[in-house]
Amino acid sequence: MSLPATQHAAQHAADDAAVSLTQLGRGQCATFYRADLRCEDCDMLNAMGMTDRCQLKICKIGDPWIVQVKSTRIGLARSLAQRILVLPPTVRP
Amino acid sequence: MTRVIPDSATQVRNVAAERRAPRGEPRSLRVALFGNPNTGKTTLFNRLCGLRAKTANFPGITAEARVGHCPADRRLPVALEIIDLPGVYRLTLEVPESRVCRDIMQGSALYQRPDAVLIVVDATNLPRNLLLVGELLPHGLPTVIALNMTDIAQRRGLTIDAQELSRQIGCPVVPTVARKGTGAAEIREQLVRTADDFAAVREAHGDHASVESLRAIASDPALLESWADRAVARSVGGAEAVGAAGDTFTERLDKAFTHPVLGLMIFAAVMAALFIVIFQMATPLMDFIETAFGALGEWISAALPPGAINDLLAEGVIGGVGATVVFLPQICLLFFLISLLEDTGYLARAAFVMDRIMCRFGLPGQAFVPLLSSHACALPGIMSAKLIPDRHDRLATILVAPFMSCSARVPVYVLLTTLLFRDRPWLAGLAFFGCYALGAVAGLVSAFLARRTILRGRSRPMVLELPSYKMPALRTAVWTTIDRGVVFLKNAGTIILAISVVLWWLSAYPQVETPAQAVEMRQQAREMMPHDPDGATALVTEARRLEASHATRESYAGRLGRLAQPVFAPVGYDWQLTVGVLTSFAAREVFVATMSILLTGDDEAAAEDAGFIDRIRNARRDDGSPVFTAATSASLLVFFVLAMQCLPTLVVTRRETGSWKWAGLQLVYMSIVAWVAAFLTYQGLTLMGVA
Repeated sequence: MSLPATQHAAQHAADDAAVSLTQLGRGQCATFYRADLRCEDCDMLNAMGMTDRCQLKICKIGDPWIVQVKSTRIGLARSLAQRILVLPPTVRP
Repeated sequence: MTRVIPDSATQVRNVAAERRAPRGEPRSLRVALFGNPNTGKTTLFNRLCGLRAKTANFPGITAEARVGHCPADRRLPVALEIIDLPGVYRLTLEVPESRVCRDIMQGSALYQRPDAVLIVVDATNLPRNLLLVGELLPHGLPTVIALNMTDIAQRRGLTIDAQELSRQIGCPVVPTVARKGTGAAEIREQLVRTADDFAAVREAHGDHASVESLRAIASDPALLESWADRAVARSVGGAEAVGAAGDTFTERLDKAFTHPVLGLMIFAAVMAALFIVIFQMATPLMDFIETAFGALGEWISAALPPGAINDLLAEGVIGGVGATVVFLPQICLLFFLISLLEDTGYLARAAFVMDRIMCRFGLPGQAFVPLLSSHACALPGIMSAKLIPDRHDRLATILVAPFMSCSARVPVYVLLTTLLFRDRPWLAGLAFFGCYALGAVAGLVSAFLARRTILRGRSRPMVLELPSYKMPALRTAVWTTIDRGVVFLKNAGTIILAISVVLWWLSAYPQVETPAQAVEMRQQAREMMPHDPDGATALVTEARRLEASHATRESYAGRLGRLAQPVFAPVGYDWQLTVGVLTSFAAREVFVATMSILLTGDDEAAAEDAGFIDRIRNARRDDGSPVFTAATSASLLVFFVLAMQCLPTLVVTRRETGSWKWAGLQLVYMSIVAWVAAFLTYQGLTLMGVA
């Protein structure tokens, strides 16, 4: 079943606006959009609280990247952080 | 993805009440303890069970659980059997730990279904912790929630209404501070009350959701998340504080501990301090154990009439077990200090620092501590590989850990480097360092190869929850230490004991007649005694050397050495060196004693003894050529750096991997690598004319 045109447009807009987590600076907040990772890694991130459209805050940049999701601090290796796509605060999910 | 298939609630209702205890014995409840990692689950378990716990391995995987007993007393006449399951974020994850938890809840395979469930949740991180609760509740088992770390939550400005939370999720919630023991007694009472009549307890806590509707919620991640969020929103005050895990103190420490340069320096300092403490504190304890076992062996030897039983007990059992138990102080200290470090929250940060280096070889950052520990002894190193969450990463670490030069190799290194560079101490020192470097390089290269062949895959990019910094719990560290020590002693008292006895028998039997020359010497000594006691004593010593050398040569181990000598001929060893190498498969340090007996007949010499070194250097083969040439010594040195000559290590590898397959692979692979490297060394040096 195809998505309605408005949803398609929103999806495209989000795809265009999504940036790698590593492009954000320390202290910035963003919305988790997608992780281009292996299934197990996606599941683990999800179980740790990085769920669809959750809010996250960048606590430390560099290797490791440290992000805070709700009250969980998660350390991410650079290679992993690069493949996490987020929506910057200016973009509505 | 596998989904849990819960039983009907009615089937499990009042299970505990139905479980009748034999007349005169208190009723018992089997409780499964669940929780996310870093929620204080094990601390609460220790509070409830104390030392009445044992570690059990799950069949086929390296995950462990501790089973503890909380005895009945006058206040609560129901005994609890509590299973401390591995920490899991979600039941549905495809990791061994989650699989075990699912199997336990379903009572499938070898697992018995529990009567009740205790879930430890972190009060400072409720939204995520409740997701696991939401997955467990649909199983319909009597469930109690331990709302742990309420003191930290309070300090962060969170106010949690436990009664309201209880109403929202439909089961009793008991606030606890496991580190202080607060709430432990209430947990016991609540578990019994809930197991007795879960239906009534659910009713009393205002739950209206049926098991079926909970099941529907658990099967949809979005519904489950909103269920958890709703429960939190209605029972937790200080909403802004819910996300306040980060503070300036944590931020600063994280920045320093994970910094590429500063973090590495801090880690090096912490590890150096750790190992200095271990070596400093363990040495007197190890000496004490060695002396105690020596005295015990002598006492048994004197108390029993001479013969096979006497030799078996004094040399085989006491000698063999003593040689392994002597490492107990190192193992206990290592686990005590690692437990303290882990509890502070530092190790999770340190893992990231090392990950940058280790990942090039297919190993995760967490592998560094086990590999560094293996320089003291491979046994605690392999046992501490439990810190590594991924199974392939863990197996790769266990497989290469014995390449690290352990303290048992030191006497062999001392002997061989001294033989090689007697009057050039700086070269001897360089060779000594080279041994350590060669072991480390061989380990890393082997890990690299393993991750491209049998354990295919790169080390997974690290993703770790960074727990809050806190003061370590001394009690938990002590219990962990005792637990690991008991596991080690059980190994020493069972498999290692059996192996020691077999190896002792091979080197002590068959008992042969005393050589005629030795008999003659003793006769001469008796005649000399009245007028030349010193000369007589020297003769007796010489006779004893001759007897020991003859006995070893004619023993089964000696015969095996002669039989196996063709295998070692290309690496330059005669039958005497072959016996030395073969007997070292029990433990490497045995090599010095074997060489001493075979080549000099002195079973009490030390590698540092100058006279002993001279006797070894002058020892001859059957054809009159020297036993130790430069090429042979170098070849032996390389062989000892790389060979898997430690049966206790194989036993521990089997235990930690759950299979003899990995232990066998370790033995075969390391032996082949050692032989090939020794061959290249010997043949290369011989070709260059060094021999």
